[in-house]
Formats: sequence, structure tokens, C-alpha cells
Amino acid sequence: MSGDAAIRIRDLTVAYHEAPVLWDIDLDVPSGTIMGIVGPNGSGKSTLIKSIMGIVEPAGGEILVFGKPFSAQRKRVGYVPQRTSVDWDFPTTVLDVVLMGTYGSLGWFRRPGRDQINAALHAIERVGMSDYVDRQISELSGGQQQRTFLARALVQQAEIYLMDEPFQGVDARTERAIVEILREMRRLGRTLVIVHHDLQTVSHYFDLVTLLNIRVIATGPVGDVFHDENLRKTYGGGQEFSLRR
Amino acid sequence: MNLILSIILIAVVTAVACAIPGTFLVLRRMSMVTEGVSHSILPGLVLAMMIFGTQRAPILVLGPALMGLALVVLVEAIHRTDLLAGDAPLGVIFPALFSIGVIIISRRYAGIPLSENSVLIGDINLAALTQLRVGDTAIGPRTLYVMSAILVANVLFTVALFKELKVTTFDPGLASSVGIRPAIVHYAFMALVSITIVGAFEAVGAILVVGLLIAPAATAYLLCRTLRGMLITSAVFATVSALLGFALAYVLDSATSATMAMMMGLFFLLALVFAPRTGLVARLHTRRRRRIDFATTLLVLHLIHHAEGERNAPACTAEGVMQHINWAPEFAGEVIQRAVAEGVITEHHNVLMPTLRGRSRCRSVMPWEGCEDPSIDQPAVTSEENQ
Repeated sequence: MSGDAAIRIRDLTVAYHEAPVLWDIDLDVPSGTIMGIVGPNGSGKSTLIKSIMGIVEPAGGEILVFGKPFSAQRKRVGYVPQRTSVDWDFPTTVLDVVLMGTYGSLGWFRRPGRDQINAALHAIERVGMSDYVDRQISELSGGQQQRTFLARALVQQAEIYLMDEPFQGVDARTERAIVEILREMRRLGRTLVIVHHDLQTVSHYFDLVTLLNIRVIATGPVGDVFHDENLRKTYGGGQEFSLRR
Repeated sequence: MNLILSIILIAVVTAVACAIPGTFLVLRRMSMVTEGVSHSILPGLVLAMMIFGTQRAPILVLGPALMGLALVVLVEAIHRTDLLAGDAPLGVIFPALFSIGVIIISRRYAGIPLSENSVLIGDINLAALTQLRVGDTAIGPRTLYVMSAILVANVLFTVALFKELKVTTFDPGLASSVGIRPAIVHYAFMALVSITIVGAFEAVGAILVVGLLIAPAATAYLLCRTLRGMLITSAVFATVSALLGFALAYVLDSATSATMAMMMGLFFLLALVFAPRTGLVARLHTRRRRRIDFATTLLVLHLIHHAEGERNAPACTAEGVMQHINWAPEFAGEVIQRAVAEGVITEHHNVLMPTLRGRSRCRSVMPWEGCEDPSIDQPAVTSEENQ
């Protein structure tokens, strides 16, 4: 867990109307690690990701990406949206979606050329989707859709990746394939922040975990903070959690 | 310029100029906003007339264009308050703006000849007669020049900002995270939409312009798998509808703009029914195929269960199947025929038997049902993901 903080959050508060969605968040994500963000529905997981990317305006606090505000570091951050937030009937193909990952490096007006297409095809190959390059995205299974968005993230050549429930609606085989890709990304020194909901797999997939419920209940190495007491604090006392670890 | 040729050119140019931004309006789920923009033309025009103190000057176009943008901004502002859901903000704003226009007209410009007919459906023939003059020479219909300029602007805008329009429509989150600000693209685009509507207003009126913007794009949406394809297809449908609409209007002696819009509606209807993947016919076909596919599996499963004990049990005949699974004779016959053709069952002297292939199909579809062949240990067939 060496290295500087890839993401450093201090006193972050986000509110919709008057109710806080995130309250006084302090969080460090060391570079080169995989951090899971878990918490119940409405605990602010997606909002946290969106505030890091400047999509949501914080009411207060500071977010630094490699020591600078996000606006100065856009190109170093990649994003995988929640599957349910995507319009799957949009007339676009797998290659087209993956190419969107190159738009950031192109800037305004310039179009993707040979280099970008090659990079996209390479990323598509890495996620095992080469047979589906020209498929319209509505013709893909849930797992294939998720792989497509993972390929788009890969092609962004970012150093930090923010992923909103990348395992949602995928079959077990795809989930294993995605985890493999994530681990390879970590080997290459990437930092991954992943919103996750399956508590059973947290200790297998992540180095660090943040338990979130509007406030940070606990954050740190999975072995240190991912235990029943913290889970009760996060998800409420009524429910018993048995973690097979 | 020949009058008929002028009308045809205006029809085609206007239709294509509308179809291009229409594609993005459909994808952005903003179709009905165009209705609002087209109605805010009236207040925009009369306000511009008041401010500039003239009734005929090119600068007056600014009024409606700005009013169209103002409408978009207002609707979005109300939408953001979360107090009104869906398209209610639009329903509140545009009649309000429109009525302001009506009130000003009735108070100050009571003498203006403003035919309801031309406001609602426009008059392409009249537009073709109004010539643009340089000095004393008429150089062709004014509307044709205006719409051609708008068409060129729309094409240039779409080509130059193709990837920006695409990504801000498909995934605004990604767009803003990579520095392509959706708001900038959005308002630039809506400004162009407003100008397009103002330009097309004269030829096709406030209601039919909505049809010109949306119908060809909606038709293309049902047919196309890529954005580029959708843009080209909607332009083609727009052109064909304009030409056929004109021809039909000529024969029937009906209003050209209305006949054009009707052709566009007709093409949409055809696509709705016959589109290869998304059309109603294709869907019915798929549903029927799936039903028979499943019935075939069910048949094999039924035979497996009954073949286990008494080999020639009455349940393993066509009659038995009909009785046990409660299928109509016609449907049962079709399923049995299909199952035999696919080699998942065999038929000998009227007795149906599951084959090995049938067993492995059942195993892959319903692994919990225990379809192992009692005699042979077959390797499990893995099911392809989501096929």
C-alpha cells in the first residue's frame, strides 16, 4: 500500500436540497490499489464517484486527484457508468462506444483516426469481445455490455478508474473475467475505485474497502475494517451479517 | 425560377434541414420541446417587432430564435426544481409564451393579416412566390435561400461536432468527465434547432415543422444501428417524403406541407410494422419462434420423464403429448415436427423418443431437471452465455 494518495478527499459534503447525501467525508485512496466502496442503497456511493469527477457540485470540502483538482487531471481519470444508466437502444456499436474512450485525448473537433481505432480494437480484444465489434449494443448480453464499457475505460489510458457497480447484471463467468482484468490493471499500477454491493466477494476482490453510509463508517485494508461490527454500523443493527471469510 | 421547381426544392431542402437535428432530438428524448419552440416563434416575432419598430426586416429572425432558446432554458430551470415531473414544465411554459404573443398582437398589431392557416400548416406555395430581390431583379424564392443556408449550417455543425453531439447525447457523464461540456453542446444545438424551426415556419407552419423534425428521424431510429446510418437514413426519408408529398399534393390539389408530413407519418407506420429487427411483424415472429423453441424443449423433457419407466407408454405418442401438456392438436403437430427436424426426438411407429441431443439440450436449458441419459455418461454441454 505504498505510494501517494491517488485521490485525497477532505471534509467533503454533498447535499440535495437540504438533506446531506454525503457528510464530512475524509478518504485517501493510495495509488496502485483496488478500493471497494460498499454501503446500503442511498448511502451516497454513486454520488461519491460523481463528486470526484466533478459531475456533482459539492456543498463543501476538497477533492484532490494526484494533488490537484479534478479539472486539471481529467485525462488521468477513467469512468465506467452504472449499467442501468445507459440508453442501450442508442444506435451505436461496440467499437463506437469503446472509441468514446479516446474522445478525452482528442479534445474538441478532432475525430478518432487509425491510432484510436487500433487502440479501441486492442482494448476490445483484451476484454474478449472481438467477435462483437460491430454489434449494436442492445444486442449484447449484460456481461458483454459491461465488458464493452470496461474496454472503453481501458482505452482511456487513465491512471485512476472509477467504476459504478461493474458486476451488476453479469453472469459468474463474466464476473471472473472482469476481476482478472481489474487485477491486471492494478499490476500495471492503476488505481481502481469500485462501487460494489455483493458483500460476500469484498475480501476476494479488494485491497481496501470503504464502508459508506452518508458518512465514512470505516476505511482501510479489508482485513482490518471489514468485520461484522462495522457492517452493522453501516447497514443498521437490525440485520445480522455472517461473513464467510 | 420555375414555380414548381421552386416548390420542390423548398420542400426537399426544408425536410432535410429539419431531419438532421431531428435525429438528435429523438435520441435526446426532446421531441416535444420542438412543439414549444415552434410556438414561441409568435411572441419572439412580435417582441422583436416592438423592439426594432419594424414589421419586415431580416433582423426580426433574432426574436423567435432567442425566444426558442429562452423556452428551453426556462423549461429546464423548472425541471431542475423537481417540482414538476416529465413534460409538465413544457406544457406550462409554451402556452404562456404563446399567449403573450397573442395578447400583444391583439393590443398593438390588430391590423396585421395573420392567417391561422399559415401559422399552423404554413404555405409552401406562397413561400415559393416570395422572391428575394437584389436591386430590381428577383433571384429566386427567399425561403429557398434561407433554408439552404440553414441546411448548410446544420450539416456543418453536425459534421464538425459529430463526436461531441454523440457522446453528450449517449453518455453526458463521460462527456463532462473528459472535458466535453454537455451544456455548451446542448445550447449550441438548441440554438440551431430554434433557427431551423424559425426558417421552416414560413413554409410548413408551427405544427407540421414538428413532424418534419421528428418523423423521419423516428423512422430511421427503428431501422438503424449506427448514428451515422440514422442521420443518412432520416435525410433520405425526408427527401423521398418531400418528393412524394409534393407529387401527391399536386395530383390531389391539397396542401403541399401537410401532404409531405403525411408521407413522413406513413413511412414511420411502415417502419413500425415492417422494420427487420424492431418492427411489429419481426417481434411477432421472434415471439412465436421462442414459444416453439421452448415447447420443443418441454416436449423432450416430457418424453424423458415418461420414457424412463415403461418404454411404450401411451404418454409418448402424439395423442399422449396433447393430453398431458394440454396442447391444441395443430400446435402439438407443429412442435413434434420441429423436434424431429432438429433431431431432439425420434418417431417410430407413432412412438416418440428423446434423442441424446434432446437430452443435452434439456440439460443446458434446465440443468435442475435431471436429464442425464441413464445409459451413457455424456459430457455436459455448456450453454453459451445469453444466447
